[in-house]
Amino acid sequence: MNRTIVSAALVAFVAGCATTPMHSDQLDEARAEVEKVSADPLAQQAASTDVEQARNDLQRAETALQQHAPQQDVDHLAYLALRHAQAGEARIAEAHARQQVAQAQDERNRIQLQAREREVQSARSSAATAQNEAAAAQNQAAAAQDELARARQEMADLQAKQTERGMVMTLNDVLFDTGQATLKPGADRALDRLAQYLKDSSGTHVIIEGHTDSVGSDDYNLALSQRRAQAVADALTGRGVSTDRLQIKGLGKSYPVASNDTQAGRQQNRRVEIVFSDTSGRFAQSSP
Amino acid sequence: MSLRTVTLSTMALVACGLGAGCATQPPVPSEQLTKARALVEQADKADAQRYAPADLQRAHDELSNAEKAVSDRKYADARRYAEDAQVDADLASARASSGEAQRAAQEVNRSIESLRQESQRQTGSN
Repeated sequence: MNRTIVSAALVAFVAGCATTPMHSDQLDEARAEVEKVSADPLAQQAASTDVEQARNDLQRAETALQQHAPQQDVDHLAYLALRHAQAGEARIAEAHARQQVAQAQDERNRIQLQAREREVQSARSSAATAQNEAAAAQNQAAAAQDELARARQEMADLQAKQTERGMVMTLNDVLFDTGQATLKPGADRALDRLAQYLKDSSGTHVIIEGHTDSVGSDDYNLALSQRRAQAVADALTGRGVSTDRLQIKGLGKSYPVASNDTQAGRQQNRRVEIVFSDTSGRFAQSSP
Repeated sequence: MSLRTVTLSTMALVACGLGAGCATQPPVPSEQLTKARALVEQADKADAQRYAPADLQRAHDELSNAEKAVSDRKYADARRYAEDAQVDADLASARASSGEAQRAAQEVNRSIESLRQESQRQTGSN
């Protein structure tokens, strides 16, 4: 009798509330979701509250299931766990997105910095090129100036004078014995310099003019002046100067530079003049 | 202890258990309702309508259900609905915030991409 009452009461107790859930789809889903979010490396950092709540809810749901609580309660708790887990996932996704934004901003800074560096580099290399060009131009200018100075010095060494006919160098008669057209050894130095000059400035041509004083016949003087000019030309070709660059003129006594009345004047008139062209072979004005 | 006493005690215990398990009316879930309303409002403000409209709708519905259950004096149901409304509203907020952040990430990535292309064009033209 007593046993029957107790059994009946127990049956009533159990059956009175709800059917006993042995399984809940909602709980399965919640378990999977909670497990998934817990496994995410960012879970602790980005969604610790959500994950903790989800686990609590899940634990309560499991307990409810074990204690045969009504299906409705188990499902409700499982739903809370599921939604907390999903919120956790959303917050993890948000954290990922924020990381991306931060990285992208770093990347943007890096790209902009690179662009600026390239600009600077480009400006620098332009500047360097300009500087090199300027330096080269300066070197050229310096070289040209050196060349000019050297030419001037050489002209000075040749004791050439600027005249309206251009640069003119005079070899006076002490280089020849009287009445002779043979150059004396004393002429060597002047001829060496002249030959060297002509070799250095390859565009320059010369006119070699023989002159005499007024003593003697015109024919004699013309022939003598011609021979003296030829002697100088031969001396130059002997020193390696091309004959193409040399013109020879015997001008006799027609172009004195001093009076023929005095000994000194006549001596000045007995001479060979070398007239220089410019470096492209042009003469300042045609010689007589 | 007599047999009768044992029987009465058992019955009392069973009655007690029955009462506790099923019949006792739980209190009005005021706290849960307040929290649910606050979270739903928060989700509305968080532009969840744009990024998580289904979750937001669900939270609203559950809040309505909770309020209706209170007026029907079904407090256990009201509590469950209020709790569901809370988690759904919170989820809607989280998804809104996440959606916003992901949109920002896409935008910044797009701008990076165009910056990179422009940068490469400039390099090419150098």
